[in-house]
Amino acid sequence: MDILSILIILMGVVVTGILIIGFLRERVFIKK
Amino acid sequence: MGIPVIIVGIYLAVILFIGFTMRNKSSSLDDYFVGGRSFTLWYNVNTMAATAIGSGTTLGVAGMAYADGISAGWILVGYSIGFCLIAILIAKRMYRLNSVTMPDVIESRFGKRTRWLSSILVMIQYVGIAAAQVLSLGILAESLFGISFTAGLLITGGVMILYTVMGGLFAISLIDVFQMILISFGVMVILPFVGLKEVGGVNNLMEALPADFFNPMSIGIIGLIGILCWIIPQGFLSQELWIRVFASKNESIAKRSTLISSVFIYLPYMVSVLVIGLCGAVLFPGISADSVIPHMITSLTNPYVQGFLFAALLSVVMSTATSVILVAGSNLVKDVYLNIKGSERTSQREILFVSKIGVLIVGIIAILLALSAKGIISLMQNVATPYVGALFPIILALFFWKRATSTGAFATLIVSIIVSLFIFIANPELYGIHPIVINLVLCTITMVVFSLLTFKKKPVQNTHVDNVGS
Repeated sequence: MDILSILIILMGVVVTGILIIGFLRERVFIKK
Repeated sequence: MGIPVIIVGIYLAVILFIGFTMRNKSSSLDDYFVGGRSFTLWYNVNTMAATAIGSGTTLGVAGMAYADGISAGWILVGYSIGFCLIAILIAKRMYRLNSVTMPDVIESRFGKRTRWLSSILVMIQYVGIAAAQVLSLGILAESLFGISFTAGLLITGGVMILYTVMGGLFAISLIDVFQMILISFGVMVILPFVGLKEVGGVNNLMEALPADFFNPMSIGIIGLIGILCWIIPQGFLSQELWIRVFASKNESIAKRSTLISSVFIYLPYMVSVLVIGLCGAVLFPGISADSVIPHMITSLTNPYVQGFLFAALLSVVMSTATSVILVAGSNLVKDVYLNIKGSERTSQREILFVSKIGVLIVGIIAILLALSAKGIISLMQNVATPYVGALFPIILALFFWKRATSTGAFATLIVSIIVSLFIFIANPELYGIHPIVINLVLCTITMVVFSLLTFKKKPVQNTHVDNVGS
Protein backbone atom coordinates (compact mmCIF):
# COMPACT_ATOMS: atom_id res chain seq x y z
CA MET A 1 0.00 0.00 0.00
CA ASP A 2 1.13 3.55 -0.73
CA ILE A 3 1.46 6.50 1.64
CA LEU A 4 -1.95 7.97 0.68
CA SER A 5 -3.68 4.69 1.53
CA ILE A 6 -1.94 4.61 4.92
CA LEU A 7 -2.99 8.24 5.56
CA ILE A 8 -6.63 7.44 4.73
CA ILE A 9 -6.66 4.52 7.16
CA LEU A 10 -4.76 6.56 9.75
CA MET A 11 -7.43 9.28 9.45
CA GLY A 12 -10.07 6.69 10.38
CA VAL A 13 -7.99 5.52 13.35
CA VAL A 14 -7.52 9.12 14.58
CA VAL A 15 -11.26 9.95 14.28
CA THR A 16 -12.25 6.74 16.09
CA GLY A 17 -9.61 7.39 18.77
CA ILE A 18 -10.77 10.98 19.32
CA LEU A 19 -14.40 9.88 19.68
CA ILE A 20 -13.50 7.17 22.22
CA ILE A 21 -11.04 9.31 24.22
CA GLY A 22 -13.41 12.33 24.22
CA PHE A 23 -16.26 10.21 25.55
CA LEU A 24 -14.14 8.39 28.16
CA ARG A 25 -12.55 11.67 29.32
CA GLU A 26 -15.94 13.21 30.03
CA ARG A 27 -17.78 10.19 31.35
CA VAL A 28 -15.07 8.28 33.20
CA PHE A 29 -12.04 10.39 34.04
CA ILE A 30 -13.53 13.80 34.82
CA LYS A 31 -17.09 12.73 35.56
CA LYS A 32 -18.94 15.38 37.60
CA MET B 1 -23.79 -17.34 8.42
CA GLY B 2 -23.57 -18.73 11.97
CA ILE B 3 -20.82 -16.61 13.54
CA PRO B 4 -21.89 -13.21 12.07
CA VAL B 5 -25.48 -13.84 13.19
CA ILE B 6 -24.32 -14.69 16.73
CA ILE B 7 -22.21 -11.51 16.86
CA VAL B 8 -25.14 -9.39 15.63
CA GLY B 9 -27.39 -11.16 18.17
CA ILE B 10 -24.96 -10.17 20.96
CA TYR B 11 -24.90 -6.61 19.58
CA LEU B 12 -28.72 -6.37 19.64
CA ALA B 13 -28.79 -7.76 23.20
CA VAL B 14 -26.18 -5.18 24.33
CA ILE B 15 -28.05 -2.17 22.91
CA LEU B 16 -31.33 -3.47 24.33
CA PHE B 17 -29.63 -3.82 27.73
CA ILE B 18 -28.28 -0.24 27.53
CA GLY B 19 -31.80 0.97 26.69
CA PHE B 20 -33.18 -1.04 29.63
CA THR B 21 -30.74 0.57 32.07
CA MET B 22 -31.97 4.00 30.98
CA ARG B 23 -35.69 3.18 31.39
CA ASN B 24 -36.16 5.14 34.63
CA LYS B 25 -33.78 8.03 33.99
CA SER B 26 -36.39 10.38 32.51
CA SER B 27 -38.77 12.13 34.87
CA SER B 28 -40.06 14.92 32.61
CA LEU B 29 -40.76 15.81 29.01
CA ASP B 30 -37.41 17.63 28.83
CA ASP B 31 -35.61 14.53 30.09
CA TYR B 32 -37.33 12.22 27.64
CA PHE B 33 -37.03 14.29 24.46
CA VAL B 34 -33.95 16.48 25.05
CA GLY B 35 -31.98 14.44 27.60
CA GLY B 36 -32.56 16.88 30.46
CA ARG B 37 -30.42 19.44 28.55
CA SER B 38 -27.33 17.82 30.06
CA PHE B 39 -25.15 16.62 27.16
CA THR B 40 -21.43 17.32 27.39
CA LEU B 41 -19.24 18.21 24.38
CA TRP B 42 -17.82 14.88 23.23
CA TYR B 43 -20.89 12.94 24.25
CA ASN B 44 -22.88 15.27 21.99
CA VAL B 45 -20.29 15.04 19.18
CA ASN B 46 -20.64 11.24 19.20
CA THR B 47 -24.42 11.26 19.22
CA MET B 48 -24.68 14.02 16.59
CA ALA B 49 -22.28 12.22 14.24
CA ALA B 50 -24.10 8.91 14.66
CA THR B 51 -27.41 10.61 13.87
CA ALA B 52 -26.10 12.54 10.85
CA ILE B 53 -24.58 9.39 9.37
CA GLY B 54 -27.41 7.34 7.88
CA SER B 55 -28.00 4.63 5.32
CA GLY B 56 -28.28 7.15 2.45
CA THR B 57 -25.01 8.85 3.35
CA THR B 58 -23.22 5.50 3.71
CA LEU B 59 -24.69 2.79 1.45
CA GLY B 60 -26.18 5.34 -0.97
CA VAL B 61 -23.08 7.54 -1.37
CA ALA B 62 -20.74 4.51 -1.60
CA GLY B 63 -23.02 3.25 -4.39
CA MET B 64 -22.87 6.62 -6.16
CA ALA B 65 -19.07 6.68 -5.87
CA TYR B 66 -19.06 3.14 -7.28
CA ALA B 67 -21.07 4.34 -10.30
CA ASP B 68 -19.85 7.93 -10.86
CA GLY B 69 -16.71 8.58 -8.78
CA ILE B 70 -15.85 11.17 -6.12
CA SER B 71 -18.43 13.75 -7.27
CA ALA B 72 -20.85 11.71 -5.08
CA GLY B 73 -19.15 13.40 -2.12
CA TRP B 74 -20.90 16.72 -2.83
CA ILE B 75 -24.05 15.38 -1.16
CA LEU B 76 -22.15 14.94 2.10
CA VAL B 77 -20.40 18.29 1.65
CA GLY B 78 -23.84 19.91 1.22
CA TYR B 79 -25.19 18.30 4.39
CA SER B 80 -22.03 19.27 6.26
CA ILE B 81 -22.49 22.92 5.20
CA GLY B 82 -26.15 22.75 6.32
CA PHE B 83 -25.09 21.39 9.74
CA CYS B 84 -22.37 24.06 10.02
CA LEU B 85 -25.00 26.74 9.33
CA ILE B 86 -26.98 25.40 12.32
CA ALA B 87 -23.85 25.80 14.46
CA ILE B 88 -22.74 29.20 13.16
CA LEU B 89 -26.07 30.94 12.63
CA ILE B 90 -28.66 29.66 15.07
CA ALA B 91 -27.34 27.10 17.61
CA LYS B 92 -26.72 29.59 20.43
CA ARG B 93 -29.90 31.59 19.92
CA MET B 94 -31.97 28.45 19.48
CA TYR B 95 -30.55 26.98 22.69
CA ARG B 96 -31.73 30.04 24.67
CA LEU B 97 -35.33 29.39 23.60
CA ASN B 98 -35.54 26.24 25.80
CA SER B 99 -37.54 24.53 23.08
CA VAL B 100 -38.15 20.85 22.39
CA THR B 101 -39.41 20.86 18.78
CA MET B 102 -39.06 23.00 15.65
CA PRO B 103 -42.72 24.17 15.87
CA ASP B 104 -41.90 25.37 19.43
CA VAL B 105 -39.24 27.63 17.91
CA ILE B 106 -41.66 28.83 15.21
CA GLU B 107 -44.39 29.66 17.74
CA SER B 108 -41.96 31.77 19.80
CA ARG B 109 -42.00 34.37 17.02
CA PHE B 110 -44.85 33.64 14.62
CA GLY B 111 -47.65 32.44 16.92
CA LYS B 112 -49.91 29.40 17.21
CA ARG B 113 -51.46 29.54 13.72
CA THR B 114 -48.08 29.15 11.98
CA ARG B 115 -47.01 26.57 14.55
CA TRP B 116 -50.01 24.35 13.80
CA LEU B 117 -49.56 24.36 10.06
CA SER B 118 -45.79 23.85 10.28
CA SER B 119 -46.22 20.99 12.77
CA ILE B 120 -48.44 19.13 10.28
CA LEU B 121 -45.66 19.36 7.67
CA VAL B 122 -43.00 18.38 10.19
CA MET B 123 -44.98 15.36 11.39
CA ILE B 124 -45.77 13.97 7.93
CA GLN B 125 -42.14 14.54 6.89
CA TYR B 126 -40.69 12.79 9.94
CA VAL B 127 -43.12 9.85 10.01
CA GLY B 128 -42.23 9.38 6.32
CA ILE B 129 -38.49 9.49 7.04
CA ALA B 130 -38.96 7.11 10.00
CA ALA B 131 -40.84 4.64 7.78
CA ALA B 132 -38.14 4.91 5.09
CA GLN B 133 -35.39 4.26 7.68
CA VAL B 134 -37.26 1.23 9.07
CA LEU B 135 -37.74 -0.01 5.51
CA SER B 136 -34.00 0.23 4.80
CA LEU B 137 -33.33 -1.59 8.09
CA GLY B 138 -35.50 -4.49 6.88
CA ILE B 139 -33.81 -4.55 3.46
CA LEU B 140 -30.37 -4.49 5.11
CA ALA B 141 -31.25 -7.31 7.56
CA GLU B 142 -32.64 -9.36 4.67
CA SER B 143 -29.52 -8.92 2.49
CA LEU B 144 -27.02 -9.46 5.33
CA PHE B 145 -28.54 -12.47 7.09
CA GLY B 146 -30.50 -14.15 4.33
CA ILE B 147 -33.71 -14.10 6.40
CA SER B 148 -37.06 -12.82 5.14
CA PHE B 149 -37.62 -9.07 4.87
CA THR B 150 -40.51 -9.22 7.36
CA ALA B 151 -38.51 -11.19 9.97
CA GLY B 152 -35.47 -8.90 9.57
CA LEU B 153 -37.58 -5.77 9.90
CA LEU B 154 -39.55 -7.02 12.90
CA ILE B 155 -36.45 -8.18 14.83
CA THR B 156 -34.18 -5.17 14.22
CA GLY B 157 -37.01 -2.61 14.11
CA GLY B 158 -38.60 -4.13 17.21
CA VAL B 159 -35.36 -3.89 19.24
CA MET B 160 -34.81 -0.32 18.05
CA ILE B 161 -38.31 0.88 18.93
CA LEU B 162 -38.25 -0.90 22.29
CA TYR B 163 -35.14 0.90 23.53
CA THR B 164 -36.30 4.23 22.11
CA VAL B 165 -39.65 3.97 23.90
CA MET B 166 -38.03 2.81 27.17
CA GLY B 167 -35.36 5.45 27.54
CA GLY B 168 -36.04 8.36 25.16
CA LEU B 169 -33.06 10.53 24.26
CA PHE B 170 -31.04 9.34 27.29
CA ALA B 171 -31.12 5.78 25.91
CA ILE B 172 -30.66 6.52 22.22
CA SER B 173 -27.80 8.98 22.82
CA LEU B 174 -25.82 6.51 24.95
CA ILE B 175 -26.47 3.78 22.36
CA ASP B 176 -25.46 6.32 19.66
CA VAL B 177 -22.03 6.65 21.32
CA PHE B 178 -21.57 2.87 21.28
CA GLN B 179 -22.85 2.70 17.69
CA MET B 180 -20.71 5.64 16.50
CA ILE B 181 -17.57 3.86 17.70
CA LEU B 182 -18.63 0.72 15.80
CA ILE B 183 -19.45 2.83 12.71
CA SER B 184 -16.20 4.80 12.65
CA PHE B 185 -14.01 1.76 13.30
CA GLY B 186 -15.94 -0.37 10.80
CA VAL B 187 -16.49 2.11 7.97
CA MET B 188 -13.46 4.40 8.45
CA VAL B 189 -10.79 1.85 9.39
CA ILE B 190 -11.65 -1.77 8.52
CA LEU B 191 -13.47 -1.32 5.18
CA PRO B 192 -10.96 1.17 3.62
CA PHE B 193 -8.12 -1.08 4.83
CA VAL B 194 -9.69 -4.21 3.33
CA GLY B 195 -10.59 -2.46 0.05
CA LEU B 196 -7.28 -0.63 -0.45
CA LYS B 197 -5.27 -3.73 0.49
CA GLU B 198 -7.14 -5.77 -2.12
CA VAL B 199 -6.77 -3.08 -4.81
CA GLY B 200 -3.11 -2.43 -3.93
CA GLY B 201 -3.37 1.22 -2.82
CA VAL B 202 -4.67 4.57 -4.04
CA ASN B 203 -2.21 4.67 -6.96
CA ASN B 204 -3.58 1.39 -8.33
CA LEU B 205 -7.09 2.70 -7.78
CA MET B 206 -6.35 5.78 -9.90
CA GLU B 207 -4.83 3.69 -12.67
CA ALA B 208 -7.70 1.20 -12.76
CA LEU B 209 -10.57 3.70 -12.98
CA PRO B 210 -11.33 6.38 -15.63
CA ALA B 211 -9.86 9.83 -14.87
CA ASP B 212 -13.37 11.28 -14.73
CA PHE B 213 -14.01 9.26 -11.55
CA PHE B 214 -11.51 11.51 -9.75
CA ASN B 215 -12.84 14.80 -11.08
CA PRO B 216 -15.06 16.38 -8.39
CA MET B 217 -16.51 18.74 -10.99
CA SER B 218 -17.61 15.97 -13.36
CA ILE B 219 -21.24 16.88 -12.59
CA GLY B 220 -20.61 20.45 -13.87
CA ILE B 221 -21.00 23.74 -12.01
CA ILE B 222 -24.75 23.92 -12.73
CA GLY B 223 -25.24 20.37 -11.46
CA LEU B 224 -23.24 21.22 -8.32
CA ILE B 225 -25.24 24.38 -7.57
CA GLY B 226 -28.44 22.40 -8.19
CA ILE B 227 -27.44 19.78 -5.60
CA LEU B 228 -26.18 22.24 -2.97
CA CYS B 229 -29.28 24.46 -3.30
CA TRP B 230 -31.54 21.77 -1.86
CA ILE B 231 -29.11 19.67 0.20
CA ILE B 232 -27.85 22.61 2.33
CA PRO B 233 -31.37 23.73 3.43
CA GLN B 234 -32.31 20.10 4.07
CA GLY B 235 -29.25 19.66 6.33
CA PHE B 236 -30.03 22.96 8.05
CA LEU B 237 -33.58 21.76 8.86
CA SER B 238 -32.51 18.38 10.31
CA GLN B 239 -34.63 18.38 13.44
CA GLU B 240 -32.83 15.26 14.66
CA LEU B 241 -29.74 17.48 15.06
CA TRP B 242 -31.77 20.37 16.50
CA ILE B 243 -32.80 18.18 19.44
CA ARG B 244 -29.07 17.64 20.18
CA VAL B 245 -28.63 21.41 20.21
CA PHE B 246 -31.51 21.67 22.70
CA ALA B 247 -30.01 18.75 24.66
CA SER B 248 -26.61 20.42 25.18
CA LYS B 249 -25.47 21.45 28.63
CA ASN B 250 -24.87 25.03 27.56
CA GLU B 251 -24.96 27.15 24.39
CA SER B 252 -21.21 26.91 23.80
CA ILE B 253 -21.41 23.10 23.76
CA ALA B 254 -24.45 23.33 21.45
CA LYS B 255 -22.41 25.29 18.90
CA ARG B 256 -19.06 23.51 19.23
CA SER B 257 -20.46 19.97 19.17
CA THR B 258 -22.46 20.68 16.00
CA LEU B 259 -19.40 22.20 14.35
CA ILE B 260 -16.98 19.42 15.37
CA SER B 261 -19.32 16.60 14.31
CA SER B 262 -20.16 18.20 10.96
CA VAL B 263 -16.60 19.16 9.97
CA PHE B 264 -14.13 16.91 11.76
CA ILE B 265 -16.20 13.69 11.82
CA TYR B 266 -18.61 13.97 8.90
CA LEU B 267 -16.12 15.09 6.22
CA PRO B 268 -13.44 12.46 7.02
CA TYR B 269 -16.30 9.92 6.99
CA MET B 270 -17.13 11.12 3.47
CA VAL B 271 -13.55 10.41 2.32
CA SER B 272 -13.75 6.85 3.69
CA VAL B 273 -17.13 6.15 2.07
CA LEU B 274 -15.86 7.44 -1.30
CA VAL B 275 -12.74 5.26 -1.06
CA ILE B 276 -14.91 2.20 -0.29
CA GLY B 277 -17.14 2.93 -3.31
CA LEU B 278 -14.14 3.41 -5.62
CA CYS B 279 -12.48 0.20 -4.39
CA GLY B 280 -15.78 -1.58 -5.05
CA ALA B 281 -15.80 -0.23 -8.62
CA VAL B 282 -12.40 -1.87 -9.23
CA LEU B 283 -13.05 -5.12 -7.37
CA PHE B 284 -16.69 -5.88 -8.16
CA PRO B 285 -17.70 -4.47 -11.55
CA GLY B 286 -21.27 -5.17 -12.62
CA ILE B 287 -22.95 -5.53 -9.21
CA SER B 288 -25.86 -3.39 -7.96
CA ALA B 289 -24.31 -0.06 -6.85
CA ASP B 290 -26.17 0.09 -3.52
CA SER B 291 -24.88 -3.35 -2.51
CA VAL B 292 -21.19 -2.45 -2.81
CA ILE B 293 -20.58 -2.31 0.97
CA PRO B 294 -22.46 -5.55 1.86
CA HIS B 295 -20.71 -7.22 -1.11
CA MET B 296 -17.29 -6.05 0.08
CA ILE B 297 -17.99 -7.33 3.59
CA THR B 298 -19.16 -10.78 2.54
CA SER B 299 -16.44 -11.23 -0.13
CA LEU B 300 -13.32 -9.93 1.61
CA THR B 301 -13.63 -10.53 5.36
CA ASN B 302 -13.74 -13.53 7.71
CA PRO B 303 -16.93 -14.40 9.64
CA TYR B 304 -15.84 -12.63 12.86
CA VAL B 305 -15.09 -9.36 11.04
CA GLN B 306 -18.30 -9.83 9.05
CA GLY B 307 -20.31 -9.97 12.27
CA PHE B 308 -18.67 -6.77 13.52
CA LEU B 309 -19.24 -4.94 10.21
CA PHE B 310 -22.87 -6.11 9.99
CA ALA B 311 -23.41 -4.65 13.45
CA ALA B 312 -21.74 -1.41 12.26
CA LEU B 313 -24.08 -1.23 9.25
CA LEU B 314 -27.14 -1.84 11.42
CA SER B 315 -25.82 0.93 13.68
CA VAL B 316 -25.65 3.31 10.72
CA VAL B 317 -29.39 2.88 10.10
CA MET B 318 -30.58 2.48 13.70
CA SER B 319 -28.79 5.56 15.08
CA THR B 320 -30.58 7.76 12.54
CA ALA B 321 -33.93 5.96 12.67
CA THR B 322 -34.26 6.20 16.47
CA SER B 323 -33.71 9.97 16.41
CA VAL B 324 -36.21 10.43 13.61
CA ILE B 325 -38.82 8.36 15.51
CA LEU B 326 -38.16 10.40 18.66
CA VAL B 327 -38.56 13.67 16.73
CA ALA B 328 -41.88 12.53 15.23
CA GLY B 329 -42.98 11.35 18.69
CA SER B 330 -42.07 14.71 20.24
CA ASN B 331 -44.10 16.50 17.57
CA LEU B 332 -47.07 14.23 18.24
CA VAL B 333 -46.95 14.82 22.00
CA LYS B 334 -45.85 18.46 22.16
CA ASP B 335 -47.59 19.85 19.10
CA VAL B 336 -50.80 17.82 19.22
CA TYR B 337 -51.56 16.32 22.64
CA LEU B 338 -50.22 19.06 24.90
CA ASN B 339 -51.40 21.81 22.57
CA ILE B 340 -54.97 20.48 22.77
CA LYS B 341 -54.97 19.55 26.45
CA GLY B 342 -52.70 22.33 27.73
CA SER B 343 -49.39 21.51 29.41
CA GLU B 344 -50.43 23.36 32.61
CA ARG B 345 -53.25 20.88 33.18
CA THR B 346 -51.05 17.81 32.63
CA SER B 347 -48.85 16.23 35.32
CA GLN B 348 -45.23 15.29 34.61
CA ARG B 349 -46.12 11.64 35.14
CA GLU B 350 -48.88 11.84 32.53
CA ILE B 351 -46.63 13.77 30.10
CA LEU B 352 -43.95 11.09 30.40
CA PHE B 353 -46.46 8.29 29.89
CA VAL B 354 -48.01 10.04 26.87
CA SER B 355 -44.50 10.69 25.45
CA LYS B 356 -43.68 6.96 25.56
CA ILE B 357 -47.04 6.10 24.00
CA GLY B 358 -46.46 8.77 21.30
CA VAL B 359 -43.05 7.35 20.38
CA LEU B 360 -44.50 3.82 20.39
CA ILE B 361 -47.33 4.91 18.05
CA VAL B 362 -44.85 6.51 15.62
CA GLY B 363 -42.66 3.39 15.75
CA ILE B 364 -45.60 1.07 15.05
CA ILE B 365 -46.84 3.30 12.19
CA ALA B 366 -43.30 3.31 10.72
CA ILE B 367 -43.12 -0.51 10.89
CA LEU B 368 -46.61 -0.95 9.41
CA LEU B 369 -45.85 1.48 6.57
CA ALA B 370 -42.54 -0.26 5.86
CA LEU B 371 -44.23 -3.67 5.85
CA SER B 372 -47.25 -2.89 3.77
CA ALA B 373 -47.13 0.38 1.91
CA LYS B 374 -43.84 1.27 0.22
CA GLY B 375 -45.76 3.50 -2.19
CA ILE B 376 -47.08 5.62 0.69
CA ILE B 377 -43.53 6.06 2.04
CA SER B 378 -42.26 7.48 -1.23
CA LEU B 379 -45.39 9.65 -1.33
CA MET B 380 -44.66 10.97 2.15
CA GLN B 381 -41.07 11.72 1.19
CA ASN B 382 -42.46 14.24 -1.31
CA VAL B 383 -43.31 16.30 1.77
CA ALA B 384 -39.62 17.35 1.74
CA THR B 385 -40.58 19.85 -0.98
CA PRO B 386 -43.10 21.89 1.07
CA TYR B 387 -41.18 21.23 4.32
CA VAL B 388 -37.78 22.53 3.18
CA GLY B 389 -39.20 25.15 0.80
CA ALA B 390 -41.28 26.88 3.48
CA LEU B 391 -39.33 26.30 6.68
CA PHE B 392 -35.89 27.40 5.44
CA PRO B 393 -36.93 31.03 4.76
CA ILE B 394 -39.22 31.01 7.81
CA ILE B 395 -36.44 29.90 10.22
CA LEU B 396 -33.91 32.34 8.73
CA ALA B 397 -36.44 35.21 8.91
CA LEU B 398 -37.37 34.18 12.45
CA PHE B 399 -33.84 34.71 13.69
CA PHE B 400 -32.47 37.39 11.39
CA TRP B 401 -35.24 39.61 10.00
CA LYS B 402 -37.04 41.94 12.35
CA ARG B 403 -39.64 42.89 9.76
CA ALA B 404 -40.80 39.30 9.29
CA THR B 405 -44.42 38.90 10.37
CA SER B 406 -46.66 36.03 11.40
CA THR B 407 -48.82 36.67 8.32
CA GLY B 408 -45.70 36.44 6.11
CA ALA B 409 -44.74 33.12 7.68
CA PHE B 410 -48.27 31.71 7.42
CA ALA B 411 -48.58 32.82 3.77
CA THR B 412 -45.22 31.16 3.06
CA LEU B 413 -46.53 27.85 4.38
CA ILE B 414 -49.73 28.12 2.32
CA VAL B 415 -47.81 29.01 -0.87
CA SER B 416 -45.36 26.18 -0.21
CA ILE B 417 -48.15 23.61 0.10
CA ILE B 418 -49.93 24.89 -3.04
CA VAL B 419 -46.72 24.98 -5.12
CA SER B 420 -45.68 21.50 -3.95
CA LEU B 421 -49.12 20.06 -4.70
CA PHE B 422 -49.05 21.66 -8.15
CA ILE B 423 -45.58 20.24 -8.90
CA PHE B 424 -46.63 16.82 -7.60
CA ILE B 425 -49.97 16.63 -9.43
CA ALA B 426 -49.29 18.55 -12.68
CA ASN B 427 -45.67 17.33 -12.94
CA PRO B 428 -44.56 20.36 -15.03
CA GLU B 429 -41.24 20.52 -16.94
CA LEU B 430 -38.67 21.89 -14.44
CA TYR B 431 -35.64 21.86 -16.79
CA GLY B 432 -33.59 19.72 -14.41
CA ILE B 433 -34.11 22.03 -11.42
CA HIS B 434 -35.01 20.23 -8.19
CA PRO B 435 -38.62 20.98 -7.04
CA ILE B 436 -37.30 22.06 -3.62
CA VAL B 437 -35.20 24.83 -5.25
CA ILE B 438 -38.21 26.22 -7.17
CA ASN B 439 -40.33 26.10 -4.03
CA LEU B 440 -37.56 27.74 -1.99
CA VAL B 441 -37.39 30.70 -4.36
CA LEU B 442 -41.19 31.19 -4.43
CA CYS B 443 -41.47 30.82 -0.64
CA THR B 444 -38.68 33.33 -0.02
CA ILE B 445 -40.41 35.86 -2.27
CA THR B 446 -43.71 35.21 -0.45
CA MET B 447 -42.08 35.65 2.95
CA VAL B 448 -40.51 38.97 1.94
CA VAL B 449 -43.54 40.40 0.13
CA PHE B 450 -46.19 39.44 2.71
CA SER B 451 -44.01 40.50 5.62
CA LEU B 452 -43.33 43.92 4.08
CA LEU B 453 -47.04 44.34 3.27
CA THR B 454 -48.18 43.50 6.80
CA PHE B 455 -45.28 44.84 8.87
CA LYS B 456 -46.56 48.37 9.42
CA LYS B 457 -50.08 47.26 10.23
CA LYS B 458 -49.05 44.63 12.72
CA PRO B 459 -45.40 45.00 13.79
CA VAL B 460 -43.83 42.14 15.69
CA GLN B 461 -42.15 43.58 18.74
CA ASN B 462 -40.63 42.35 21.93
CA THR B 463 -41.05 38.67 21.11
CA HIS B 464 -39.27 35.90 22.92
CA VAL B 465 -36.80 35.47 20.04
CA ASP B 466 -35.94 39.19 20.14
CA ASN B 467 -35.28 38.91 23.83
CA VAL B 468 -32.77 36.10 23.50
CA GLY B 469 -30.41 38.46 21.69
CA SER B 470 -27.82 37.52 19.12
